Amino acid sequence: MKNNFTQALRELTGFDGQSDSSETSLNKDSAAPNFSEDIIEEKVNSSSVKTIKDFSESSQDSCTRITSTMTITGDIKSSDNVHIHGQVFGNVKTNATVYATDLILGNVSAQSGFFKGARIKGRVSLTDDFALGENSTIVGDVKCKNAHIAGKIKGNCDIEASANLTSTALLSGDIITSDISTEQGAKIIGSISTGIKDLDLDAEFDFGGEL
Amino acid sequence: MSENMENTNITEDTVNAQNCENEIVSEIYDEMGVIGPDTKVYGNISTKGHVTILGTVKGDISANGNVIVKGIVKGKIICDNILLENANVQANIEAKHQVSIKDGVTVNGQILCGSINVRGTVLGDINARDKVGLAETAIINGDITAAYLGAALGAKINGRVSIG
Repeated sequence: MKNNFTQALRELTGFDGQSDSSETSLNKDSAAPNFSEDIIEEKVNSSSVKTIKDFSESSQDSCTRITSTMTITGDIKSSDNVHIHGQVFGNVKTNATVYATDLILGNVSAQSGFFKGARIKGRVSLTDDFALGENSTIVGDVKCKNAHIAGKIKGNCDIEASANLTSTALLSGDIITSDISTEQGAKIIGSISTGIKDLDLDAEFDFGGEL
Repeated sequence: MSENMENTNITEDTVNAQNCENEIVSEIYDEMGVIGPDTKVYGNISTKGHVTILGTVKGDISANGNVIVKGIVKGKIICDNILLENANVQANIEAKHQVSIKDGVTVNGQILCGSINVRGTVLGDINARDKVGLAETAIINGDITAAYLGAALGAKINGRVSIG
């Protein structure tokens, strides 16, 4: 299922499973300066005091990374990618992509959003692509262009282009989309409206002037 | 995320209990969080690891590990070690160990630390358990309390100094 999701992500956006790589990069030395080697130890009051000699190895990434033990109580506004592996109690707004793997209690507004193992309580508004992984839950409305849903959503989905629901998807809410495909096993509690954008109902069901 | 946490190296805090009787010795996770240059955080940040601020934070920062500020912080900073470079900081700083203030950096607030190295400007009191080192470019507008003071020729101090 994970492979399916990653593949779908690639197909959707060319997103190359970055949430995976960014997670693992947290554990590598490159993500954090190697303090242990550059530390001058001094003995003061019989305690070893660490002195930082060189911070230059600090991450030069332009993106924002909220690590797993990090909690932000407040809003985040950015014009670059935001990786959230920790907890955010506030709104997240960016002009780029949001990758989330933990908890967001607040609205998310971004260009694209990729959620894997994430729990979100709030409205998700995206101008582009949306992917929700198998173990992810959103309680709130979702608005996006393309959606790939393998997780659970309690809220209404307004999807401009195509919606793709996998067998593990659970939707409690109404869906409006131009195009929908669902795998066998997907659960939907609510109404589905597809292809209604340019639909003229009166014209479709007009019997002509005779009746 | 639990896998992540297992993989990270947990460095034992080396703070002597005598030096901080009231503080809980906390573990530091070897992970670096980043607030990017185009990012603003309007609220508080707390982490068990390290954090780098390249953007703007209007709120308090509390880190078990180190804090690197190369952006703007308005709030209180509590951490293990802290480095300020190309930063604009209006905050009281509480560092368990080392504070390092580079050239051109202005700190507007009080500093409480183990030891401190200043090449920039501090507008506020400095209270160090150990050493205060002032480079020739340092300007201190406030009182200094420390065990040891080293000042290069040219360092400016405008305030009371009590050493020892």
